[in-house]
Amino acid sequence: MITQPELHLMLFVVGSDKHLDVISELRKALLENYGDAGYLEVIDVLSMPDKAMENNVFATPMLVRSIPQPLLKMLVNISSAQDAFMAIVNHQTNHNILV
Amino acid sequence: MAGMIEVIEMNSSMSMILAVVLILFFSAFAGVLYMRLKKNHTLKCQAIETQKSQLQQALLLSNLYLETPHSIIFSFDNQFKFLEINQKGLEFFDITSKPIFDFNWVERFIPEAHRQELSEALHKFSAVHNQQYTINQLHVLVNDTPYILSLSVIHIDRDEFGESFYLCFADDISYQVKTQAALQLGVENFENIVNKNQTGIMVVSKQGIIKFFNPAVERLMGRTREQLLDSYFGTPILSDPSQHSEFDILRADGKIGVSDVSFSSIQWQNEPAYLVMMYDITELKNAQQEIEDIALHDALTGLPNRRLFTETLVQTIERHKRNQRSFALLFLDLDRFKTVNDTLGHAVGDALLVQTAERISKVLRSNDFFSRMGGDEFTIILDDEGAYENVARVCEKIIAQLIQPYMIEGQVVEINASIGVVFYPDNAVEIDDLLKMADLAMYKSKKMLNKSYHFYDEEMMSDFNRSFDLESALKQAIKNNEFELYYQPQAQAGSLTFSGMEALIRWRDPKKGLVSPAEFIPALERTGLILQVGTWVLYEAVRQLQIWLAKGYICNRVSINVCVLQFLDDDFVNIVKQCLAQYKVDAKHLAIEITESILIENKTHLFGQLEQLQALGIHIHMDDFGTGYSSLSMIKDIPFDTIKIDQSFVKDLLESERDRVMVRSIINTIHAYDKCVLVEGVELEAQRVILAVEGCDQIQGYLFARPMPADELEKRYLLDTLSS
Repeated sequence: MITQPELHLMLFVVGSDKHLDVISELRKALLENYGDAGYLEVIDVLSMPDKAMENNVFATPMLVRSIPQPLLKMLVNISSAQDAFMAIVNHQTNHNILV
Repeated sequence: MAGMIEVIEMNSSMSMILAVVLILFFSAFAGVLYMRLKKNHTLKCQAIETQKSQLQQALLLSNLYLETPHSIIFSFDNQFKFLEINQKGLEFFDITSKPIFDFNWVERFIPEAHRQELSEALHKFSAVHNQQYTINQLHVLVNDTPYILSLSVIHIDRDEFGESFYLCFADDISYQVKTQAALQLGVENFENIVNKNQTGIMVVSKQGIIKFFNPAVERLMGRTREQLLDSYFGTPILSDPSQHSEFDILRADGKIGVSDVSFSSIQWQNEPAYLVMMYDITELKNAQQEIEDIALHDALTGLPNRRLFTETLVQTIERHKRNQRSFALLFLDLDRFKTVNDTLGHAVGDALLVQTAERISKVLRSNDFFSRMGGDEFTIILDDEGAYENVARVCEKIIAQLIQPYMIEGQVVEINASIGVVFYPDNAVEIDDLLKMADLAMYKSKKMLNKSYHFYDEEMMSDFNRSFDLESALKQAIKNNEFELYYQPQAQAGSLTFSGMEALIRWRDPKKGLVSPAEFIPALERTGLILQVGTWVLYEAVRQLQIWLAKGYICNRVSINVCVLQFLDDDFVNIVKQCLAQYKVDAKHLAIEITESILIENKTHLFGQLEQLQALGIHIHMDDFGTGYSSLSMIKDIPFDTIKIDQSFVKDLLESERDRVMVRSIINTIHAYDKCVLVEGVELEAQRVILAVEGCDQIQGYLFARPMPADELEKRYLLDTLSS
């Protein structure tokens, strides 16, 4: 496994039970690509609404890259978890993202 | 044309402007004056030449003023005939080659609908001095082509020749009006299509920034314009962008809505962007959820129902398989619930179920799944639980809760439960196997007097498989006609002469030979196959009767055994009627035997059936009297013809004086109700003698004959009836 820089992701969902497939896909992709350097925090908005407000999340499932900067937000659906992961990984850090 | 004319009151600054305009006008119209002066033959003054020279200069200047602007400038008299018009005016009205003074311009160029109003307005203006009249949009027709003019009219009271006239400045604003109308239409269309649209329309840049949205988006997202515009919404990542996807929308007030969202790639202000269409489906989803809740929950207890349990069990198996964990499945059934329902009523039964559900819920953890399968059956999934001792503790807690007396509608109700436990994956990994095993364990628990829960073990499955094999073999036996009827003759107790017979079913298994009814009758009853086999017994017995009767034998009657399932079939009486009719056998030759216990449990329903059968002429026998309730009220109330006393009363008859007294009492009681007494299991002559002395009518047992095939019975007993 190639050593990778850290990647911290947050997945905001409403009811984590409903999105087990997305979570499982992302965890798998993280482990395969980042090993211990990858971290996924699943935030169920129903139990942690404040965290969604803090991060200005308008819609879910929303995948947020908190590390590395800049912050990236991706609106994903069940079938696109892998695509979202790749988009976040491949996104250039100097991309002109407004936050 | 209503409202098109605007009257502007003049103030001092406007008067100044008017003065300047008038000076310009006089200069401009010096040409006009010049023409008139030329015509006036009375003008003698020498000074005129000087004036003429000055006026000619003024004429040149005025022409320059008149022809330079793009405006149409013209004057007309009180009959609305042109006096003067500039080049722009001539071109506009297309009158370059014609004399201009001969016609009323209002009549020629103003459409008929507006003509009178304009004429009246102009006449009215002529009476007012020092005012400018503005007509914002004057519709004109030139060579049938419509135009719109913006018009300012000034009425010049009198010139120095005493003539008053109108001076008019006009601009062709047809194009502007059309453009403005089109623009207005575009704005209105935009208003209607976008701003008034209930669908949320939003433009998000490629970087995920909200660039545009309609009011529906504000409502849908529960956010203000300021909160939305230029905020970071996020970039949509969809495997198939053309497809709609459902997303949860987090509103500012903390409420969560559901939206159906579609994305399209567009250009927005020359940049690539996404057009996001959002349909609020929150109410639809809520309604769906409500319907689903109703469909997936038990209305009485509010617990998940069988369907939701099955779905959950499938998911639980998947999850535990993935995580390589164990879970326990409990199958719980209330003991004697039917009795509570039957004796205390359904309302009490329902209340009992509700309270049971509440009591069990108290014992369970939040992640355990508890559902009602129907009736008095409940299932529990103990998530992530593989330890037998923990599950045993849960079972004991549940039982401890349930055995506490219930207080329902002022009555104390006591109940117990039986629980069967199975473990995933130790016992089974498939849903059907788990359910079957839990059910088996529950039934095992029900049979045990000292334990209310039982873990599944292999022995249960062996029993089950044996039972399953037996059921399969019985189905095959029905198909292959492997059943036979044996007949056990009955005799008069006093004379020991043939008095009738009981038809008894036998199964001749091709592998095992003759199988005892005790082995297969319970299986037939459990599976419901008894209905089919019972009907076969009836038809076979009556068919045999027909043969014997046709031969002239005195058969008296043949009795057949009927089980509760047959009696509960509303069609049973008809089946019997049809059978007798088919073989043309008199009903008096047929007797039906039922046990006392069947009647105790189903008295009301069966009473009617028995009366109907009796009305046909069929005898009704109560079988096994003395083994159950031995209810005297049964003898009194039910229209039996014969009571068959169980063999247990005969066994010690020779040794026990008490038994003899009891038999005597029973016989006397039955006789008191004018019913016959038949005693079963008589094996010894001494027994027969005692019974005969005590008044017994008939006996059945090995003393007289064992059960035998039809042909043997015919030879040994029926042939003799011919000679008698």
